[in-house]
Amino acid sequence: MRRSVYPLKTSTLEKIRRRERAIKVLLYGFLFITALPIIIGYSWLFLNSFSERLVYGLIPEQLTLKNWSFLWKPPSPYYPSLWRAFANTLILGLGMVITVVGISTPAAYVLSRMKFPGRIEILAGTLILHSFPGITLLISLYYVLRTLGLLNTVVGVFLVKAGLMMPFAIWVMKGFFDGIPWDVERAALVDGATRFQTWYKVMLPQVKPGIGAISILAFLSGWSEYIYVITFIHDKRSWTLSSYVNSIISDYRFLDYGLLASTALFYIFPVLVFFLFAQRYLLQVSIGGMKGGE
Amino acid sequence: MSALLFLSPAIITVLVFYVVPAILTVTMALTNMDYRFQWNFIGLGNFRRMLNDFLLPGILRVTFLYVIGTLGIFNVTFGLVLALVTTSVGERTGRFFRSLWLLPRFTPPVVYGMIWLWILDPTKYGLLNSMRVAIGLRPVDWILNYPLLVIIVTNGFIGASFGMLIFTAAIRSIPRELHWAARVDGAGLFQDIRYITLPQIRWPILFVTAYQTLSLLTSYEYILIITKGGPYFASTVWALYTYNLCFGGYYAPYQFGYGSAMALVLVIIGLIAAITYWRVFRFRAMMAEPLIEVV
Amino acid sequence: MRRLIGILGVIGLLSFWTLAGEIEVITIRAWTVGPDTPAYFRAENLVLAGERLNKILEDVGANVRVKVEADFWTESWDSYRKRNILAFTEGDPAVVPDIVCSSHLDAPVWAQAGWIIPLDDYIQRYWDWTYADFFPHLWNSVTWNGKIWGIPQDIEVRMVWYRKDHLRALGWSEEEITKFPQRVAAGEVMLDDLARIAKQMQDAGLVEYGIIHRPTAGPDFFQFVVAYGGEYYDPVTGKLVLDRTAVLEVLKFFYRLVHEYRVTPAGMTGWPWPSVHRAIALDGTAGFQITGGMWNWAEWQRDFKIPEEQLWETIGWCLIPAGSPAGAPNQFGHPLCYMVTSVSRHKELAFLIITLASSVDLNTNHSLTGAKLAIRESQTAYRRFKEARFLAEASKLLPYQRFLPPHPKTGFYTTVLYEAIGGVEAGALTPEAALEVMIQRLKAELGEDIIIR
Repeated sequence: MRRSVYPLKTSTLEKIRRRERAIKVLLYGFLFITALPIIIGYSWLFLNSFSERLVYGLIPEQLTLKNWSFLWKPPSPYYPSLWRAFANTLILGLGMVITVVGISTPAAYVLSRMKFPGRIEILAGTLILHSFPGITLLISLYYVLRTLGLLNTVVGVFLVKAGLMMPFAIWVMKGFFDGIPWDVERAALVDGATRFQTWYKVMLPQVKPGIGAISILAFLSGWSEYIYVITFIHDKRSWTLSSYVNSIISDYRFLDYGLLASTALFYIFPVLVFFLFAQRYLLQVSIGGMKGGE
Repeated sequence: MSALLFLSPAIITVLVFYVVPAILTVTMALTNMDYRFQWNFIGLGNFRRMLNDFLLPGILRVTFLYVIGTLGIFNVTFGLVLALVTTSVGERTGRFFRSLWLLPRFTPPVVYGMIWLWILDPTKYGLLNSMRVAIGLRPVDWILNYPLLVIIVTNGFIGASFGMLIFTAAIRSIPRELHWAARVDGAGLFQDIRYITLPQIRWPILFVTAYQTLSLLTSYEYILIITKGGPYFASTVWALYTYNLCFGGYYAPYQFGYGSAMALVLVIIGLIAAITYWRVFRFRAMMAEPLIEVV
Repeated sequence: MRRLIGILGVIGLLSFWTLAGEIEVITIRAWTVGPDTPAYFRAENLVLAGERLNKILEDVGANVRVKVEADFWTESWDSYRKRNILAFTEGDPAVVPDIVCSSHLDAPVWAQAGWIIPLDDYIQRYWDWTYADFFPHLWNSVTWNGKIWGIPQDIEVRMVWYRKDHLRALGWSEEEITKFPQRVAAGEVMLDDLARIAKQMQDAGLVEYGIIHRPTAGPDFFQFVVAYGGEYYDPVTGKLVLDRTAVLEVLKFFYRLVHEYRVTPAGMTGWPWPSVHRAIALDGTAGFQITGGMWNWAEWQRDFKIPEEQLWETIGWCLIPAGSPAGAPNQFGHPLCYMVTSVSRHKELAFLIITLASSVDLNTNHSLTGAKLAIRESQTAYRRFKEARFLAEASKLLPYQRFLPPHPKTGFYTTVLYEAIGGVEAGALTPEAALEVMIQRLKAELGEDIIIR
């Protein structure tokens, strides 16, 4: 039954507003309570790494920097150098970025712009490949890396990860290339530019946001890698921070929560930084990539 | 010509690190390869062994409960709830909470696992137990006593963010006029959701369900870190069992042949899902015809 | 005389490779493991052996020297094996070392894969001046398929550790405490008695955990099978054996520990090792550690800086008690051995290094620092060894010692037993169900190679 909105009696308006406010408060409360594990969990990293111990859950008892001594003194003589692990993790991350961006961008351009036989099959193939996720390939990847002599190396790990991320990266970059109207290219080609020049000077700058987003995702993926590192790498000299922190957990789990928290905070730091500043990119790309069928 | 140049690195990388391993998995599944890396073809022997494996029914049950539980409670339902709620409150608050829920997904798994290990720590220093001790109760070994619940919750906090993102985008794309019209007709918040929002996001809901079923079926990393599949396989899902067969265990069984066969089962399920998904979502419609023809 | 000929023979071989006037250095690489940190002499002895050989070479005037590079692994056994198997399957001589030191249980596994060589001929070469001295029963631990695959590197005893100070607090006299190990050996004290004493400690508030045990798989759990009168190996057929009655008793015992006596935490198998060591040796929050090993004595001093006098004051040890009249008090040993890899380019030289590293004084280095026992008879008369009080006392358990059988699947058997115990403790399975699952898994993996009695 139709009811006209204007004019309403003020008391009814007030009732509606009060009700809406009450609902909003309930919703805020709901969001806060359900997000509590996350809030508390991450706060713990900060709180415990700077305290002697925590009581009643989260209350620091004595602020100290002692837990951060692992930065210059290994927790036990049988740990590799923290900074070496840091360097390896950095290599993993940067290696991912260079490989993924360097390979997916030109490939995505071709798939977006050119028509040639097999194009649809390739794109369809990537969907089939998606049904072979990590665990199913782990065993044979072990075999492949062994054959290539890349087992026990950080390079092996990031090549594997880059290969697995490639279809996704190509999809996303293709999406970005698709979004550029072909007039831009036509103008460049008409002006006498070669295909390569068009791509390099005209198209690439247009898809910078895409490149940025893929770079961040690739870096974070490399930085956070755990399974491939513990499965393919045994030499302590090639450890990354994830194996390092993993070892700290198994050795010091009930003994030194401060050490656990501080090493974790050290490890997660770049992720937090990226997260704070580059969220928009990540959100946009994640959704854009998903629309493409991944 | 330059097309080939542009494409070849991608093709080589994907071939070597994706396609070849995929083919290898299929072939390895027909062998009984172990730590000696010998190709002994035994046909369907591994699959026969699967039928007799005493542990598999229990593992199937755990996998089933895990996937249904996480999907039903967190990935789809809670993702939807989060999307609805964060779009109903102010823009900035909504964005803040969405970012908060996205944080676990981007955290390195070791750290995320460590946080939960602290929350669920069986001594009095764990979060939940320190609260119990504070009110006079004895500590509980959460991971030991509630393994399924633990893996559902810990993976759920990661999984919910996926649905949340998709649904948020979908909700945002509903034309405002529809909402206004409903409001004018006297709909309250909940009716607005029920009659306008939900029907419009039918397809994303189906998509998330289908996609996340696949993801959950093959996920095991967080379970490995937090419960290690224990106690005694009570939280071991199919994917984790496969991993332990090959790389876990005290004497590192290295049962590559059998493990590949188990992985292949997952692949078959995934393939069925992928093909169904392709059909249902009309894949070709998303392929735009290219604008420049290569002569 | 033969000793001289032997050395000159090897030197003759080495001299083949020397260029006139130039000193050639041959590198011998070795991989060794602790993982307990005081065992570093496993690596160090090889290096010292190389130095001794170089002294001889220098004196003889040979133009060749030997450099031994020995790696010492302190991570887990699991990761050590993984690293090794990875390298072995690649078979790259630049990566695979010449000498590998590992558990005697790895010898049959690696021999089956063709990664190590049988050493019978080499042993015969140096029999008189080294290997005849080895305790005969040690050779059993490294023999498989009729051949010897490794040179025993050390032997230890495993035992039950207990806190003497808590026993005193319970009112035990010094004499009772001293007599306790003898009563266990005589069969007067049984496993359940241990649990009862532990419960008294817990009830008196002296300890938090009456009984704890190792949180990783190991041969130790077979000690309980023997304690209940079970077998695990058939020497006639060479097959492994699962004794239903005994294993069920074992599983029921661990069930009782957690769920009836409540002296063991249900999550015991999830504990980190440092927590176990702290609880029994440092904090004293545990009353018994029923799967201890004598090398813990060295670990506690080295890693936790506990002075030895304190250990003598607070910690005692005894055999694993019998569980039922059918069983016997016992303990297991788990020898390590040096093996030579099949891709090694200097097999004879590698073997010589091992031989020199097995000299009485070098091996005693390891025994003293790592708290291990003698592998050679003459070692027991060696002054430094005799003077070590702990070693002498621990040696008293030797007569009761057994080994796990050298069978390629022993490792799997060990893991399956350990996992079953963990499952029973966690309350995930009843002992009967756990036994059934164990049998299924063993049958699936070993097929005919296991006898189920």
